[in-house]
Amino acid sequence: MATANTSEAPVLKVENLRTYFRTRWGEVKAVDGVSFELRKGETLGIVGESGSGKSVTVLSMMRLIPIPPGRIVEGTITLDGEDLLQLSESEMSKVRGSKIALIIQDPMTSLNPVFTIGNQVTEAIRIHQDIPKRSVMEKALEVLRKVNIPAAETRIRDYPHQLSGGMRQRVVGAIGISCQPLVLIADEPTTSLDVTIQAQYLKLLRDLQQESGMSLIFITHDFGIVAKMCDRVAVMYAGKIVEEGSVRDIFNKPSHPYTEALLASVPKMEEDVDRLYAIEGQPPLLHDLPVGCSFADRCPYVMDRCREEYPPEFPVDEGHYSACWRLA
Amino acid sequence: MTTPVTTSGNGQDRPVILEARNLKKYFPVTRGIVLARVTGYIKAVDGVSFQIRAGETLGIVGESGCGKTTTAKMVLMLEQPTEGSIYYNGQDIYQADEAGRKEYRSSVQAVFQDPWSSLNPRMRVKDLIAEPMVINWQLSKPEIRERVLELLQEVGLSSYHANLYPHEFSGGQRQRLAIARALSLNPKIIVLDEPVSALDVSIRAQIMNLLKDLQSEYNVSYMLIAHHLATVRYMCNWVAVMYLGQVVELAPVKELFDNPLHPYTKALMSAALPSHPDTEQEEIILTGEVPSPLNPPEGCHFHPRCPFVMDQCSHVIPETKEITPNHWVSCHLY
Amino acid sequence: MAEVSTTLSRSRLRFPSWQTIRYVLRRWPVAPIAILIILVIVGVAAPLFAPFDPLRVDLPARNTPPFWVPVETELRTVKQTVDKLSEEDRLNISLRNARKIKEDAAVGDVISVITTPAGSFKHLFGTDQTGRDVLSRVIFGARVSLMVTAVSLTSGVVIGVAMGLIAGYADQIFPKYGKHLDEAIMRVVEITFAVPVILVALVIVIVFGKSFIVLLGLLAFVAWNAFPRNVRAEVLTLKTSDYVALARISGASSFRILFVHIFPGVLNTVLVIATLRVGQLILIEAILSFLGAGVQPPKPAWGAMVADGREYLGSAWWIAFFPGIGIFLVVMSLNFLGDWMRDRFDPRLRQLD
Ligand SMILES: Nc1ncnc2c1ncn2[C@@H]1O[C@H](COP(=O)(O)OP(=O)(O)OP(=O)(O)O)[C@@H](O)[C@H]1O
Ligand SMILES: Nc1ncnc2c1ncn2[C@@H]1O[C@H](COP(=O)(O)OP(=O)(O)OP(=O)(O)O)[C@@H](O)[C@H]1O
Ligand code: SF4
Ligand code: SF4
Ligand SMILES: [Mg+2]
Ligand SMILES: [Mg+2]
Repeated sequence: MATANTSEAPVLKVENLRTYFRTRWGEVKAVDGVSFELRKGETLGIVGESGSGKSVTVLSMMRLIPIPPGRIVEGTITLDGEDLLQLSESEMSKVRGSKIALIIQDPMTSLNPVFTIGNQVTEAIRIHQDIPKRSVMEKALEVLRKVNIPAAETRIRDYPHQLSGGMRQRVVGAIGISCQPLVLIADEPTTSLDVTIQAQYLKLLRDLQQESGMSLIFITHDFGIVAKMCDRVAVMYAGKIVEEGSVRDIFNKPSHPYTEALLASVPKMEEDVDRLYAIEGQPPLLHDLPVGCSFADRCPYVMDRCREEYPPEFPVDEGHYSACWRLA
Repeated sequence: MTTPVTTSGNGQDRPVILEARNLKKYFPVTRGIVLARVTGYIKAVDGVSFQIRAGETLGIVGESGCGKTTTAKMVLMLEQPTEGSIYYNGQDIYQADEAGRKEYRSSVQAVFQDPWSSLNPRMRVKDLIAEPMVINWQLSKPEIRERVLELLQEVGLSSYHANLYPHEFSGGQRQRLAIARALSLNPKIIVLDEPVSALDVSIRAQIMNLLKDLQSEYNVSYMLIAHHLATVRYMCNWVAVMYLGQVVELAPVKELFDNPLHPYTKALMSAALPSHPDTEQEEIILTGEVPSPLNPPEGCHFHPRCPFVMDQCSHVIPETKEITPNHWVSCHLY
Repeated sequence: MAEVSTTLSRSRLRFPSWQTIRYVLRRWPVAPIAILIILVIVGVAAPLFAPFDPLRVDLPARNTPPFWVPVETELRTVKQTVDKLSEEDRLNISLRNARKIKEDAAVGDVISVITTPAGSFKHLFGTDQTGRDVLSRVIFGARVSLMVTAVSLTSGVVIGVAMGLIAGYADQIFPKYGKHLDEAIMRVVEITFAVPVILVALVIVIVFGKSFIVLLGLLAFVAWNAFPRNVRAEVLTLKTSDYVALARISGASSFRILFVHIFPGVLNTVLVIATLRVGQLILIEAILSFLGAGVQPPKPAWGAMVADGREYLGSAWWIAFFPGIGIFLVVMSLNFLGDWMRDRFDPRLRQLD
């Protein structure tokens, strides 16, 4: 998606990314032509329901898609002037962690249960940074303190199971930021956390971002996190971005029926809602997508045209795009 | 703890159907295998009292591990309380005779969080939904079948689904099946332990709406356990806020959200995610972790994390007081 | 994409494509199942398939090789007398014997002598040292082995599963003593694991004598102890599952929960272990027979047949070979099948297809 031209060049630019999986039912188009940009210090939220391709998008950016069954069919991912899809595997593993880092959904599986957290943090630092052995430990302590691990000197000898869920998640975060990446991707980092612990963690991420100026990509299906954290939002549905805009545009003027429906289906804490809007039906199967708009079967505004041709992106406002025929 | 008695106000005046008084559940912590010694107690629930009125929903919120599920299990008679009692229509169920208990059991049903593990994968849908009726009622096969089809319809599924197995359904549909089963005995109370948090965003609204519709149709009461405050606001009439095994605040839903009094409730509210980017939020970020229920802090359990902590908080246990009508708080500030 | 869908739609109408066949062969243990089915049918209906009575002795036809083996001949020089024990006379033949083959043989002639007769279609797998038909004996041997394993496995499953269920579920039925009962059962199981089965079997056979009942008892003992531990573990997880809690909430009794909700849940595990155990049982039966402590001759059992044939491996390899192949095929098939079932029933792996 072309974004309004600003003076500053984007740190990350994804263009027309397509990632398919070969399965016994046929080809699953998990990500089907996704484009977006990310500027320095900006936070982009990617929202959408389960299976819409959010994780596959970021895994493609990290070049962590299992091949086979997966395959990046086309697209460019330009980070800091380099196309990541053209790099060799060894060049890519240098980039991973140092320029672009990923914090994934499940904190329990992303830490190795048989190593101490100290081992795991120092390992991450050693791979990407050329610093003397003695100061690696100091550096590890420093990042653990940065993510508010109390008594980091003793905790560094603990194994993951000895930490609470919130602390584990912060250790994963510490590994993510240990090499000051340009882009930090957080794939539903807080779904397993308690409300109060989640708030602590979100605040921490925001503080770290302000301090280092890194860009953040937040994958979530919670509009609350988007409202709290993000500058811009991309709404995904069935492998495509159906609407993109600034966070205020999306909340105030949702112009894709799917965005509108999603926003109407979440209860609000600040006001009484009599009845929630419920999106009926199921998302389409990704190996058997309809010809036209993928939302057509669930859309209250569906027109004949919607079933014939996939809608292109229509500008709603500056920097606000929506792929819906209603805007034609 | 004194008992917060929610005297009927609000002009609603619905009869109290279930009342818990000073419920406690201590799990012994043992060491050694053959000659096990009890080395301490996890005070999972430590003196909880509440009332549930006919046709209303009581929400229970609080951090992970604060004892919400354990409280629900005692209401469901899956756990025997260490202390305290539960009154159903004014009768103490633990003193009741066999017939009274049986009646209670069939009046209180449950829907759990995980729709994948709450249905026996080896039973057909019709047998799953019929099971409570087969156990409790003397009905003929055709009568049961008819009622199963009726229940399927009620939760938005069709008779065609009766012969399928649970794995042939999506998460949302499975939760509908679980609800149909819970409804089968015409219960008076359904315990909902995080009924939507395992579901996808777009499915949650469907299930919440279904639950609300069924409540107004059958006048059933819900005890809803949830993390997500907005869900509680949408679904509940009353809310109890739990911290470390105790209810620290109890109020009608609107009162609680408009005027939270307990510092923990305030922190919880401020930690909840806003529904709009322009929402102004007071940021009370709690520091520290949830203390262990194995040895809770003395005095007010919340004092190590409380931003308003005073001298007496660390050694005097605050009493539960009715600050305004129907609004109960246990904190030294009031 | 288009290509795939056309092959798929065509395959529904016509003969399945090669891909489909390969796919089926890879996903389903077709060969092991076919082998086992054939063996079971053959074993159950042994008299229908066996061309001969397995016990019928036919001395003139003894040591006939399998049907495909051609006549084996050797050239020998005719001599007046032959000293059978001397090395050099091995390639010679006495005049008396030579005359039996060729009327006009004379000393100094070189004649061709049949050392092993040709295999015939009468005895497809040949005959043994007393002229009994090996094929018939293998077929009846399948029957004996099947019966032995079926009886011992059934008793082993019943005892083992019952023990597992009791150990895992006792605390629900006897709140007071359940834990201790569980402990006791599991200790007993652990002890039986430490018993060297073959050794004990030999001792028991020496003490109680060789009998079919003793053998069945021994094998049942081998079979049962694999079940309690796994069944118990399964019961412990199922016991705390949400659907069991919901059944209890609906008023289900402990017995109903055990038989309606828990027991069906352990069946998969039982089936898998049983499959893997059958192979072991057949093997142990064979070893015991081989050591002379199992099925007694002349009753044909595979293990005993291998043991018998061992002496003639040099001259008549087929006596031991065919029952050996039988053991190998059954044990391998059951292991493949057991592994496949374990993968298939394991819910964590099930979502893969
Ligand atoms: N290894 C794989 N093989 C086949 N299909 C896959 C694979 N990984 C992902 N997919 C498919 O790609 C689609 C998108 O998955 P993805 O994990 O990106 O969803 P998501 O938006 O992150 O959902 P969630 O919110 O549940 O995490 C899904 O339909 C999934 O089935
Ligand atoms: N059977 C048990 N034996 C010992 N301790 C237990 C048992 N069940 C629960 N607990 C402990 O009791 C406390 C309360 O648990 P409970 O499951 O009620 O919490 P919860 O509020 O439902 O939390 P969550 O929101 O995570 O579901 C926890 O510390 C838990 O570890
Ligand atoms: S293009 Fe048509 S079907 Fe798709 S979202 Fe817009 S109105 Fe609905
Ligand atoms: S009693 Fe004291 S420590 Fe506890 S919540 Fe009130 S002010 Fe805070
Ligand atoms: Mg994902
Ligand atoms: Mg719980």
